[in-house]
Amino acid sequence: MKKLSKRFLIPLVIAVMLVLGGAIGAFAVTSSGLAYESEDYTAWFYLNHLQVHLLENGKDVCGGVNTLDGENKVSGDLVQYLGYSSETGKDVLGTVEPGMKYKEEIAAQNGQDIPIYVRMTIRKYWCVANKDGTAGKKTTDLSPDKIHLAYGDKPYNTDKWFINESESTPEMSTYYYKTQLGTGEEGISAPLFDTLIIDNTLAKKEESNRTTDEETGVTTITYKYKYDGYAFMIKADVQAIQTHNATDAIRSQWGVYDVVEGSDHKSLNQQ
Amino acid sequence: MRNKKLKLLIAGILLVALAAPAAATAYFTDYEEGHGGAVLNLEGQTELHEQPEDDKKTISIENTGETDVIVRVAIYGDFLGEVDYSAEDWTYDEEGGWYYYNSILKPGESTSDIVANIDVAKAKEAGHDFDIVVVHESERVTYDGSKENKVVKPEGWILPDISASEEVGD
Repeated sequence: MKKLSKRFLIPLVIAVMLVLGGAIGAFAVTSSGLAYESEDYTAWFYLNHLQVHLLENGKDVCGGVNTLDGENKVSGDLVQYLGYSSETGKDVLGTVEPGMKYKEEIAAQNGQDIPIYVRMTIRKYWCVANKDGTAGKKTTDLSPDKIHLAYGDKPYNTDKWFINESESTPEMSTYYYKTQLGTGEEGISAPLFDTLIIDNTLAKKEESNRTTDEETGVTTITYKYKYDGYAFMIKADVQAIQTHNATDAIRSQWGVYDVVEGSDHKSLNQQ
Repeated sequence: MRNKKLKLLIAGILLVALAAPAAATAYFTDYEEGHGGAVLNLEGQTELHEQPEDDKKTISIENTGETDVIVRVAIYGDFLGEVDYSAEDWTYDEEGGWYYYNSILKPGESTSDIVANIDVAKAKEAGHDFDIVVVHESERVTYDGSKENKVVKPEGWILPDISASEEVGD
């Protein structure tokens, strides 16, 4: 028995040492940095991370304190700048009117000094409103097609973005920005959309109710609307990835095969 | 026994091989998301205000709801030309007998007055009392999605062309 144990022990020790050695080696690779230092010269090596922002009518709608305009906006309020005008500094959103054409420019912005590629996933859906006016449970009673996001006469800005149909459904679409986003002024993408219209067919009357005031004799006929109290929802998810070794990075992180020549996406095929 | 040692050795090498590349395949990424929406309040609500006086009746409509509306008013009675109407900002459709308000009525706003002036002398001559009946109708505004945001005319409404504004936000 003792003999057997020794026979097992030696290879086991070798195996454990190999595992430990490998783990320490891997850790050493990830934690390595510039360690050189002299009395006369000190070098610093900053490993910046990427940062991308979501813009609605030129305003940053990302949560957190690092918003571009210095305001601490609450996350999850994409439609808060619907119809926002930079000239007046005011948005015009009170009640959303069916068929009304609202300015809704949705874009991405590079928040760091490293060029990035971006893609954006847009989801459109409906919720039943709660009694307090907030959006409640998601519903499939209404089609997402009744929420029209567009760019001029086009379904989206086809000059600057392209859609990956294989990642898209009636409720969700994924768009890729054709070129990399640079830094500074070149870090703001062209808008993916510029208008929002809620289909005016939703305002069709369905039922009526007739009441007569006995005191005054006034008869009132009230019409009901089937979709009164429904809430439309838009969700935008913008993702950024490094431009260095972009083909492999995009393949690895986004799961799409993206041929990158120079700084442009040239084609995209989902595998 | 030799076989077992070999298996252990291979297992160890595989563990190392699997552990090391994990660090090397990381890429720089970031993401942000925003979501939001708005509730559709489709039901409009309006209130008729009638102010009868000796020789006239003043009529106006107030938007007491939360949505934009368009309104029209019809006035009925057994008249023989003894009632004269003053209705600025309204368009009269002779065929249907409706007065159409020329603007979108926003929440909280009231129309300008329609005043029915009664020629009392003529009425006495005709020898009958007055019973001025007012019917009013309001419709929740819908737009056509054009840049001018034109109001869609409800069926049967002979409404003048109304636009909200240019694209909202421009």
